[in-house]
Amino acid sequence: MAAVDPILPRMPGSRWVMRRLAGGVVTVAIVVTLTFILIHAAPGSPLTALEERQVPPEVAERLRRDFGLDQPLPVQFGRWVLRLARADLGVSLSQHRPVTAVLADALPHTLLLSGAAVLLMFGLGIGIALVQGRYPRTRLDHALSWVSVTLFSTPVFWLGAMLLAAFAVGTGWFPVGGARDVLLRSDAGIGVRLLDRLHHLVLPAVTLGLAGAGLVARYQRTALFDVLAQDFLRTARAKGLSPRAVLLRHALPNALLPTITILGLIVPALLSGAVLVETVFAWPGMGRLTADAILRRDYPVVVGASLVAAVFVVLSTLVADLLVRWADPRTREAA
Amino acid sequence: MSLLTVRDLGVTWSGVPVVHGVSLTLERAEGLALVGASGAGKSTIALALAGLLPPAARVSGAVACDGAIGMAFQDVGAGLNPVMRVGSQVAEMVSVPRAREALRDAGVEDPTAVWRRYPHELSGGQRQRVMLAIALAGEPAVLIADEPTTALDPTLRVAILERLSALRRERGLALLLITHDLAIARRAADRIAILSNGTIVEDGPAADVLAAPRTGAAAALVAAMPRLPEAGP
Amino acid sequence: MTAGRRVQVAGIAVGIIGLIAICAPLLAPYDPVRQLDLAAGRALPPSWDHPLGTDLFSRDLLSRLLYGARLSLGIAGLAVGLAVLLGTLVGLVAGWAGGWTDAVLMRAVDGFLAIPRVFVVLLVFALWDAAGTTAMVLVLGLTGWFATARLVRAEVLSLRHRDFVTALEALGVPPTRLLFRHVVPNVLAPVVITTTLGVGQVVLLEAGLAYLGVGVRPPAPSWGAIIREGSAALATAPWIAASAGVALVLTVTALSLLGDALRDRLDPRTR
Repeated sequence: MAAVDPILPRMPGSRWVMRRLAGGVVTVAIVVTLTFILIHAAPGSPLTALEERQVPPEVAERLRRDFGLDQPLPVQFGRWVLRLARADLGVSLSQHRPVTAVLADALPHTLLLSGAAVLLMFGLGIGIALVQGRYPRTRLDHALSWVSVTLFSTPVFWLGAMLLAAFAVGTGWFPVGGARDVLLRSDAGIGVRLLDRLHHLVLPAVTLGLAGAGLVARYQRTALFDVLAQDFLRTARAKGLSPRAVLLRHALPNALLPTITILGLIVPALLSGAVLVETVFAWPGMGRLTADAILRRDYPVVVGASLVAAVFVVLSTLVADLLVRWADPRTREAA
Repeated sequence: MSLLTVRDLGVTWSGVPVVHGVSLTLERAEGLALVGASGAGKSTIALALAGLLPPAARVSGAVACDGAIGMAFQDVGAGLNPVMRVGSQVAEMVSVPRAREALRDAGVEDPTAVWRRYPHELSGGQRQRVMLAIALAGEPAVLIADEPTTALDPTLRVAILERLSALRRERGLALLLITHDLAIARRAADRIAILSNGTIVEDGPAADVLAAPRTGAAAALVAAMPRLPEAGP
Repeated sequence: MTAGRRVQVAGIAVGIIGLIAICAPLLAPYDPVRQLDLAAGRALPPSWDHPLGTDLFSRDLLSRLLYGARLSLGIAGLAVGLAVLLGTLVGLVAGWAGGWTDAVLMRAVDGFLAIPRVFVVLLVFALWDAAGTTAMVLVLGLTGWFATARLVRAEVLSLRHRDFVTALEALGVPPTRLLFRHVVPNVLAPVVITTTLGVGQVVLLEAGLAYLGVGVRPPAPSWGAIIREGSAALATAPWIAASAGVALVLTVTALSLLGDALRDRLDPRTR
């Protein structure tokens, strides 16, 4: 076979991608259906919340029309699905704006917070596991295991409240909440504004990051120790590589593979945690939006946020699968 | 002076002596087979000589070698890094030309063909040769081969052993072969040392040990060899 | 420490916490919901009279924490019990029946798992306009069975077409008997492990929901609710939020350690 192997790893076959995408679409479809069932299984008409408060008559009328409450259930379902396909998630009952607009305002904040938290939790979590792998079954290893399990067992909202008390309320080093300083002058330079945003991001991101790091460290340690027991590490040592090189160049790439897989499981946990952390820090993201909407019985927002969250989870699972296929040559189709 | 001299090697694990009083010598181009039942301590000796025992093991005695000691492990499927290309693994500590030469020494006719492959894409025999190449890449004076043929079928077994013999003839490589199978020892080694309960109980030219074993352990191993009609002188 | 030893130690720790929770009425010096002195007794720091101080409504904090243990662990225990039961049932049915039933059930599980749990719980609470302990147990239980279902289903699948099962089927042994005699014992170990870890996670979840104001109604002393109240006075009375949080951390850590130790002890593959 004289063909030259491509320099880049082969991209997964388009058939595989299509299959996974189709699977993702099916999952989203199921989420939509389940949500519909949930909404209509609940007691009272979907407009009960409306009737409890004074809503402008034109909004009420539009909602009545949109929901088509006099129509049979399958028709309602069909109409709802069509509305979803048009990205029409209804109107927020408390803000009197389209839900899509409300979510669009909040989503970037959640993405920023989640992104920062993911970097922190994986960085810290993998770092802890690596140190444990370098000095296995020593006192340091056991101490770090304690740290991981404690972080894993700490309520994320309490951690946030404590960090808030220590670093914001008490000392004033960090802002007490929000994503930016509303009093900042509108002509303030972009550097100042960026710094301000970062300043507000630190505590909430650290909170989410620390809480998640416990989970990642535990999982990564198990994966790493599984890999460390394998023969090929002995082969690497026999070549004369230092223990550090063996760990980083041979053990870690293999140990990261199962961790990429849990990315799909981490995202739902992350979003759940974001609901609490955003509430603690008054961070204007989707999580806080949902929590507020619950208290105001603004259920179109809750439904909309849940659907968006589900889509994100499905997407992240897909990305995780793609990453594993790219990283692990054993998963690729044979030549 | 022998190429490799081992004097009174002992290994203690959690206070339990696994290996004790092991002494042996190895000359250039010589083949010594270390034979014993499972658990007798063969692999422990091999790892001790290669300096690969974990820190928890206490090693005593003296080892002197006029050159590097290389070790080739038995590959039961997990001996090579699954996510790294084979060529990179062989060339990790040496130059690429040297690595290619090592692959050829190990019996891989066309190193280019396997260079960019991943371990799971190779057959068991090819993987064993790669393991051999990794050990040979460092140009060792002594090669310790731990059960290099146990996982292979008979034809491959013969091929690998022939390769090792060729290396001894052509390069003066000294071979310490670890095996539980006397038949393999007979095929590949000049001398045989019988290991029992952590120490060497018999040591001599292969023919002598096989024809007239002096200890019970040796006799048991000889008796356990399958008796097949010899193909010829 | 060997795995068996760790199971013992962690088990004792969890046992002690459980005992404290059960004996709360005996151990608590005061009534947890009684406001003792609204004029001069609010947010008092720890003292001899009140080992953990009082909260914003002049209620003894120690008593509230003790009863809170009862509440939080009780809810978590019941919810996880419900979830495990449900999950095992679904897993058994899906694994045994196979075919369409299995496909539909597992697809539904995938769908449920896609929505982050907090969102589902909040959605249900919003739609049903629910509150209170029973609602919390039901909702948490009904949203927590998916992992168990997958586990049990996998075990059933691995045994479904084994020779001995086929032989027993041919003899006319009813499926239920087969399942309970042969499948359930094999699946017991992983289920116990996930249950133990699950109780810890549900305690945290319930606390989080209480913090948001969802679930148990005031003046119920859920630890999450105490943190919620305490968060309003972080500067002046930090011990309120701090003590409830420490209680949570200790409890969940003990449960997590027990779960880990059980996993090391029961699963021969892990170290």
